[in-house]
Amino acid sequence: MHRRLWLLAGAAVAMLLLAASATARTTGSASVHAASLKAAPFAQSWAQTPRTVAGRKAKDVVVIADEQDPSGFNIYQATQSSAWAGYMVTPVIRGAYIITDQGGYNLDLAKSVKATKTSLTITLRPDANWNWGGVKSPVTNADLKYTLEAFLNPNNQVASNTGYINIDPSKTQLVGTKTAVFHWRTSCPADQITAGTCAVGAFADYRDLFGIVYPSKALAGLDWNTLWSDCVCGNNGKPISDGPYILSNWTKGNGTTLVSNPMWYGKKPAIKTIQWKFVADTSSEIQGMRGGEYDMIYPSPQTALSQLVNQPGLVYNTNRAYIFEHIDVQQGPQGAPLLKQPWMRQAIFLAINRVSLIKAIFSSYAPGVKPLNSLEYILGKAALPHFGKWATSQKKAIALLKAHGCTGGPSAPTRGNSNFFSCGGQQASFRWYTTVGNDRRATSAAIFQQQLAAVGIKINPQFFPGPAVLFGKTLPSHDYDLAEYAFVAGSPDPSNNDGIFKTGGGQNYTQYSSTKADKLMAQAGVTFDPAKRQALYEQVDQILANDLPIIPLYTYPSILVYRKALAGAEHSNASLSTGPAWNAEQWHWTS
Amino acid sequence: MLTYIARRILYSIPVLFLSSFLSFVFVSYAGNPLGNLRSNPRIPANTLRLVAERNHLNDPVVLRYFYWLKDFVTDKMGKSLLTFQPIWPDVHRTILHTAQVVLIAECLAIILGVAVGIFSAIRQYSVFDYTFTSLSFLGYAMPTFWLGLLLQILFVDIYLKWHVRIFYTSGLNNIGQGTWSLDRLQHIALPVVTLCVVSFALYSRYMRASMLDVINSDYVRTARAKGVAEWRVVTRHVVRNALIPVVTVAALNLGGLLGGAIVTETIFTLDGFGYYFIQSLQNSDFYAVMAYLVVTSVIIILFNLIADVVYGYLDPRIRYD
Amino acid sequence: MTDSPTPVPPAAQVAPPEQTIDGMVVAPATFGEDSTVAAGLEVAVRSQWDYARRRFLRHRLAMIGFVGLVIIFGAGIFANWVAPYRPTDIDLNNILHAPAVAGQHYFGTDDTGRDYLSRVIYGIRTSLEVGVTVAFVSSIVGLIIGAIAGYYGGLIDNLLMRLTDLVLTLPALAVLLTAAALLGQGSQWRLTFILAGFFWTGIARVVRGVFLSLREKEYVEAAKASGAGDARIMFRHILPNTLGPIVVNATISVAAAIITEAALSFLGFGVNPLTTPSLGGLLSSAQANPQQWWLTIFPGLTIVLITLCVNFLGDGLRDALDPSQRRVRA
Repeated sequence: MHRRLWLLAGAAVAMLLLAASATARTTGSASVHAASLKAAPFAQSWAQTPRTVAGRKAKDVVVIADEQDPSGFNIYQATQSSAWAGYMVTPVIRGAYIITDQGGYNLDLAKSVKATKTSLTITLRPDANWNWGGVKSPVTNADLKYTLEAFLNPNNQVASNTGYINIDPSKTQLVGTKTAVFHWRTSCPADQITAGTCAVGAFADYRDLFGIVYPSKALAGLDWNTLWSDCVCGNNGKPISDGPYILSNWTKGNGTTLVSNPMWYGKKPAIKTIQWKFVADTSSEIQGMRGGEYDMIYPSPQTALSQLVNQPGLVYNTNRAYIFEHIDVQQGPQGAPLLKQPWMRQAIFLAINRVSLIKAIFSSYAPGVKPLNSLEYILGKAALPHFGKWATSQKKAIALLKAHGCTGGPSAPTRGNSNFFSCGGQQASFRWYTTVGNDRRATSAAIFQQQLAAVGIKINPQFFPGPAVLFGKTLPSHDYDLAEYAFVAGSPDPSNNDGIFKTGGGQNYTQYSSTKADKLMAQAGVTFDPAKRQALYEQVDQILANDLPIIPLYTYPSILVYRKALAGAEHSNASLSTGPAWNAEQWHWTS
Repeated sequence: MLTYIARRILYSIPVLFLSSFLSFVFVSYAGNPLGNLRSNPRIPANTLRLVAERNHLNDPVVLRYFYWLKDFVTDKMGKSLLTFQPIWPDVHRTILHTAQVVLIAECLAIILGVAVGIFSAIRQYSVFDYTFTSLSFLGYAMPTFWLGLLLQILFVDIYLKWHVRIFYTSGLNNIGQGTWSLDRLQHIALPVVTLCVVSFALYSRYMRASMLDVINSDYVRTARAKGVAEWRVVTRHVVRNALIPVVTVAALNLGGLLGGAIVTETIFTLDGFGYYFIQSLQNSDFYAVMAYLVVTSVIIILFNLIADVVYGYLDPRIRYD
Repeated sequence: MTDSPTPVPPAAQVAPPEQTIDGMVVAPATFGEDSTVAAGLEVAVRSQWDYARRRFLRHRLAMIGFVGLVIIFGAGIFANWVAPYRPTDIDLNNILHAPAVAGQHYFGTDDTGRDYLSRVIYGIRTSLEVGVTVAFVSSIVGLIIGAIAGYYGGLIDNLLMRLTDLVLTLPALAVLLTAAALLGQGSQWRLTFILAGFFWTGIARVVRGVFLSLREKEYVEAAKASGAGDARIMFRHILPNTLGPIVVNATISVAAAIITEAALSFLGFGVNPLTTPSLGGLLSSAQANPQQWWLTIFPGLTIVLITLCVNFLGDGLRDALDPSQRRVRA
């Protein structure tokens, strides 16, 4: 019996030893290959970061809480493209233009950009330089050429090559060391047009091109698909930058450190070090802001943030992000036939009350959110409220349905109604699909169900896993009636939405088709005059407001919380990949 | 006995293959790595084609299973389909984190559970017995995720009100702290308590019932009749024999928990094996999901075998033929 | 799968001993038959069921559990009459109100103004439907498989036990996710049957143990000798001995199924949260509003109460149906 007990005890001890043999380092190991960075890991630099606000003020350090651990820094590679990696890379690797907080385009690396119907000429700043492991070298037109070729290489998994496919790479002219002249394509083989690898003519949204310029010399010999998987560096493993900051280290699971770059052309940044600390859940971020551990957080919107709204010493900034929540209305053969009728779509729009929905969802932590009434332009003066004509009126909705021969429903908007309309033999009952596990969408599905039931329209909500099912299968197969989800706009330019509304467009899951809109979009694609271009897109917006292929709901609030003492911090309204540190070179601590 | 073990292991191998194949089929139908890419509106068709080719997404499922098997065996569990990062370091790291939390919780639960079970049985129907039986009922009835949520809310409130950190409510440790530092213990205290409560209740109930069984048995009565002192009877005869079924249950329980205390890790955002699984599932990262499933299956089969072997070894009445 | 351990008894289950009444071996352990009397004694003996019933009724905790379950499950079954509001009635003017007597919102309201008490009551109904169905179906399946494996032994036993192993190693989450992918999220019945497909293994093992040990008994040989078919032997002679452990296991399965469904709904893989409120789903939405304590407390408390009562009941049943226990607790 003794022996048996010893056996058991020995087994227990062995198991404990096994657990204890866990590596003492809690830092995970990033993958090691030829171009990896052997810099000081984040833990060491974090140990020297002061834990109090006063301490950080004295040392010109800012700590930002990072919600997502990047899986690599080549954000234009499709499988590595992550928002937070983009935020960290923006101060490090720059592009021709930078998008400001008002949605405007400022020249950054480029001194001048000229676009005509036949060519695109980019001249780089004379003082734009690479800092490669402490060695200075100029940013040249060879870098522009390399970037173009990277985006056009059919073996590269690019996240997007819109616009680049309009350029003919064989006709690139390099003038001196700073100027490159690109020529738009004049013809394309037909199969390449359908495959999406070639497009004819000028690309009017040229300012979104060369949002990144790759260092051609430093990346010589590296495979673009596996580039920058654990650092932003050249082929010798040393960090490289042409922006105000250098990415000096990244440790998976811990964080990233940016230090100021002395070779940047602009004014030397007041903040010397920016630490991006990885914090996986929002409640820790909130506690960190209240407790003084972090200086800035950029959290995904949720109710718990209401705790930070009125905290002394903090600035709570909400702004419109370029993500808009909407309802897809399927018009193809697999959708409900009733949805093909414009009056049914209009009735749905009239029945829902977006104001009370927004109030229920956002009022506690993002009070400024308003219903979205324009699709092509989201911000600024160009955002004319074309969709505003469908302001909530449940009475009108019922009248509209009745006027088109629907029977069986309520005669006046009734709460808790269970009599649904039947139109021409078909019941006004639709499938409503949205993503699972999203509290906001569960709430809005419940609210919409009630609001639509009040006018006699039934919806049957079902929840699916987002990327795996809804986006991967259901939407591309067009087998749904109504779907609620969000579109992410890549930049303020309205041409980003063309894929949603163009006949056969990549995001045109609703199978909407309007020849008039197609023509206008095509025309805008070759119009360089900004005023004329805007007018064309306003016309498209009006068509969309009449046809209602999708029903816009609201734009997500983008929430930035930071210490009042950190001056210069400004919300970035640009595309998602620019992030809160887009103007980090302008930050400074005040007392 | 050895032949029994060898036979069990031999039978487990086809089970493992079948299980991994079925899991692979399920996972490939459930998720689509292209889906993640498609939620980016401007992705070119060429990129989708490249990703599909690289991951053999257009091949029949059986063929894809064999591609996966080859990568799994030759390339140390292969590389994540989406990020090209190798999987083994992640699995290694997360499973050790989970093992730390689970083993501490289980040891506590066993020690406490056995002690309480012994005393409850010896002093049956006393106040001690009733109290602890009620507590163990309560503990057994408590869903782990609810307990975890409550503890989390409680300690966040304490921090926000009094600005003192007793226990951390999320994460494994602050940066730069070691595996057995005070900081780490402060972080895993709450998950350990959450996991411990239910196990403790289970073990104390089993121990008590087992003790009562043994106490009322003939050979104990004989020992008492022979004049052996009561405490000797208890320690020499009763406890050792009563421990047998408890040990078996503990082995099974441990096997299940090592598969990743998924819900607890999700609530406390621990960088553990279960959390890794959920993340991979949500990203449709097949190879990572398959790595998890295979490792979990092996652990469960192994611990089932250990439970049976230990039981057979300790209890001479059981014979495996 | 989840963190709550499923109570799997040890692999080799000790067989229930012979029936004794005051030390005399009277009859083999079969329920439903009047025990024969030892020669010469004219004692009026009660049947095994009588003893079981008496023990059960005297077991205080079991009675508490029983009454508690009647109340809770009654509320769930008659939800339409008991709940003060409909669980889907949104009232955007009454968001996140604390529990109060005014307005009959005894459990407060949630983030869209729905009455929380009603949602909890309908959640009980969902849990009840899932739990009882899972226990019932898994018991039957486990019984059949365990009986066949235990009775025939040999190769069939081996195959069936490997099947059990296979099911044990399959990840429930992946299966549920696949089902959600192929069929869309949500009918609770689909979730129920998938859960039942994972729960039968415990019962199968126990039943197999009993059959393995009892098939060598003399009365089985006697039955075989007198020409009884396999089915008759299995049903008439051996099966009744398994009823005790099966009933107990089924009771425990109800609790385990309820907790598992709650955990799955909590993770987002459970029932459609809109049409069928579920206790786990309620807890999942409560996470977004940690400062509204009633959102977290009430569903969790309900789960705890249900599980407690089920466990008391199970304990009482096990004590009552355990033939070796002769004490009738005062």
